[in-house]
Amino acid sequence: MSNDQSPEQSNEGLEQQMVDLAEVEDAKLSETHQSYSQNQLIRRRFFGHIPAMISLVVVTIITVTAFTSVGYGIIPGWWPHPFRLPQGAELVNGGEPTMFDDGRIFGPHPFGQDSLPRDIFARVMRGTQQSLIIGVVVALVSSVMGILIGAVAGYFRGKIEAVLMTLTDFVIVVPLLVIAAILGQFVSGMPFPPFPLAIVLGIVSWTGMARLVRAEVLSLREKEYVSAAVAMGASPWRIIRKHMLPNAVGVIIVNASFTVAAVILLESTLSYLGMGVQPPEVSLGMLVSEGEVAINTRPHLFWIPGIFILIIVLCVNFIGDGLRDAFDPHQQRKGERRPGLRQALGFRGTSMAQSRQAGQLGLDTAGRTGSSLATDSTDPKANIFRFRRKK
Amino acid sequence: MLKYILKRFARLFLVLFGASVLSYALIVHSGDPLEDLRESTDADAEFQMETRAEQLNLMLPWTDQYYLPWYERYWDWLTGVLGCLDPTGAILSRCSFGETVNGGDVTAQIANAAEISLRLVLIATLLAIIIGVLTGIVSAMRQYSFFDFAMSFLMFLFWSLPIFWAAVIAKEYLAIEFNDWMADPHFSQSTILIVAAILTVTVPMIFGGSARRRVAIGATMFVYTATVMPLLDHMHFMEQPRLGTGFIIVGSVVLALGLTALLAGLQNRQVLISGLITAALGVASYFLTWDLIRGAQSYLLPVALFALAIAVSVLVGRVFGGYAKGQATAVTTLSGILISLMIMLDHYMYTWPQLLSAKPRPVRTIGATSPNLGTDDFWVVSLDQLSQLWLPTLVMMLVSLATYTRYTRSSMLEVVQQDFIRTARAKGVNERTVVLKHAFRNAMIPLATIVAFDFAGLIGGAIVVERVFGWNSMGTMFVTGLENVDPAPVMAVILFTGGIAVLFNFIADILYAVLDPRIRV
Repeated sequence: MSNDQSPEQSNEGLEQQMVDLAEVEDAKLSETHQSYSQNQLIRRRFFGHIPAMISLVVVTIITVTAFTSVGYGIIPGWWPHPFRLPQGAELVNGGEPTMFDDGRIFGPHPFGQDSLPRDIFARVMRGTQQSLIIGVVVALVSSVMGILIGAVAGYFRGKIEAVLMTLTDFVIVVPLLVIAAILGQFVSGMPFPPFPLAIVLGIVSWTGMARLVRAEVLSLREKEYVSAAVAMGASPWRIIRKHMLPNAVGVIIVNASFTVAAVILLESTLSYLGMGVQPPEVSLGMLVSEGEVAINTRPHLFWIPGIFILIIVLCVNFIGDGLRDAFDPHQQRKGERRPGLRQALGFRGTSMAQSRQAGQLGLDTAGRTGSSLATDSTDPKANIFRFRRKK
Repeated sequence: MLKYILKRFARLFLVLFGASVLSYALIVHSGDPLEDLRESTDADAEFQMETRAEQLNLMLPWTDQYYLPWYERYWDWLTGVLGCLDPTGAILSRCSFGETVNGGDVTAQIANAAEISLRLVLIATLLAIIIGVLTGIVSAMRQYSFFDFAMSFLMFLFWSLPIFWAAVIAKEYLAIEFNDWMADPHFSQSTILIVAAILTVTVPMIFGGSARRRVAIGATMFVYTATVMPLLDHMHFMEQPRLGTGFIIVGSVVLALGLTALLAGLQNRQVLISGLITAALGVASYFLTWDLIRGAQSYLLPVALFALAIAVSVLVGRVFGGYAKGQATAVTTLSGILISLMIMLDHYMYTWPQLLSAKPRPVRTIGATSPNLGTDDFWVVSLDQLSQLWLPTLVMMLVSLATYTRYTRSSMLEVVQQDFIRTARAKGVNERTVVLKHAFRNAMIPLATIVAFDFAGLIGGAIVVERVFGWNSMGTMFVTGLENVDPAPVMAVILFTGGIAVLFNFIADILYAVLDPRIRV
């Protein structure tokens, strides 16, 4: 188009030129830094998120300890005391925690004993197991339901969407705790605790996920590749499965991880009120309510399970935050670069002056898009824009 | 738009109706209401069972003369509740929320509980919004500063806090510590030093600026705290607190000046004059209404005066605002509200010694009010309610604070990147106007929806907190009702929380339409 005389030859030349250009750029780029796939980028961002990493380690340690120490089902654990009242148990140290006591690191009952006397460490570990199981099962149930209903509602709209919106209104109208307590009371006598409770909680907590997936699907269905897939005769099921859900996976994973945290809180609240996990099974919320009775004589009975709930929920929330930053670096990339320690402590003025002296400021702003991709902005070669301008 | 909102309002009511049917069925089938009597060894257990069966229309092993299926029981309940919409009682049946298994009148209980719970939830929400939004703005303005990191961590911590655990800590430790301290309220040297050190570190972080400015602010804060706290101690402030005339005058003027500086800039004479006039009116009203307010018998008088103060403030803003009417009205209204609150605070402070003499340990850990106060003076009763209220409010506020802070922070950061902010800066608008007028307003529009959603969760939290603090209120009604398989009190709680949530959604929708002209279809 640009050249009337010999369009083909010129086009060829242009193409060749473009290929050369691309190769040169590629070489320049790979000289300074590696390129990553989308998944690699997400993984790198997630593993670079320090609070999320610390939380991941803590949650792993807690999970492994909780499941191996008192065992699960028929699998025995390494901890000598059971979480139920053992025969011939005797009170050691007046029920006080033996941890860091008398020069011992753990002692026989590191978290102490209650008045029966049952070992609190075993009970807390068992409660942690229950909390984690409920959190994960609820997140699974509510995610599956939410994804299915949200995707169908967003894709087909019409009646299903109306039903979904009504159910969302239901959540606004009836507090989650209220409906969960009623359902918790309803299933309290069922066998295989805590699974009936977990499933019931999943059934009431899927609307958040459904709304998010619906919103995502609504925006995705306007994309050209969906129209192309429709034109090629793909079935709605295939479009949802192959084109929409993979694009919504970030939203789904992030929301599921926050659901785990919210549900652990919800379950412990229900158990505290006596409407969640029922004795003889143990739950952290129940332990807090048992400990509250003796708060003046044995405060550790109240503090330890509560701190465990707090730590687990906090860590899961941090992991969710890390996942969100990894999947959606939108906010990270905007604004200023993540600062070093000195800037964070409030000496930004000083460090800005220093960087201005070094003549880096202009490059810093130009290289802003690359901040989370570890662009080395001090190296002028790394700047793609500059390279193009020269050409 | 009005049609849309009304439609939504109607739909929410329909949903509430559906929820009530579903909940009723679930509650009725969630257990055996006669369980305790079946296991009872009382001689008249059978008689008790008959009474209860008659009351709840249950099936007995030997007779079904009382039995009604759950939908008929629901219908009875519904007609009773619908009667409340009709105050004359002519068309529908008598207003009744039913009776508990023990024969208690749920209508009276829920009326009492509604007042207490609403007070708790509204104050907590309001405080959480104000503090959360302010923290969020400061965090966003100082993105990636130490303040931002510290606040982010704290908000995560509050977000992860199990509300019942926090409530128990507040009840068993904070309340008792406070009571013990009030027995002999003196700041020790170390307390003063610790408070001074905390303020010295945190206040400069909020203000920001150059290193020199931070050091100066920190030093000022340290000196200020280290002189004021011993002074207050010397004045026996904790036993006989007063703001005093001087503080009210200075405070009003400073408020007017500060709000003017924040919202319009001190060089804007019109706004400054309106603000100062409001301050003068506020101080004058402090003296003029003192006796009137002291004689108050109920909340009616203070609330009416408050409304009057707001009306006068708006009027001052409109009249003296000149070309800057909008800004002037904002400044005068805000100063009017804040000065009124300051005056109220002084009245409460004036009542404090009276309360202390009636109740030497000011925070009871059980109940929403204290019995046997020995006086029915409005101010003492009201202050007693407040002293019972502050710990539950604190707990609920902390738990819902995170939502607002995190939302405001991310929303502000998002908006600040928009093109219209750059345009505003480019045309020379100063930073204050950019942040408050261009960024903040646009960032806050979806907050209305967040409040509506958060509110439902907060009411759930209120049930737990009230239960922990032993208030004879919603929490107790709900939990004991559910344990006894007794539908009437549980349904009353559901209806109340649901009704409030519907109402709040309605308000939120209207606010949304007012704030965002785009959705006015």
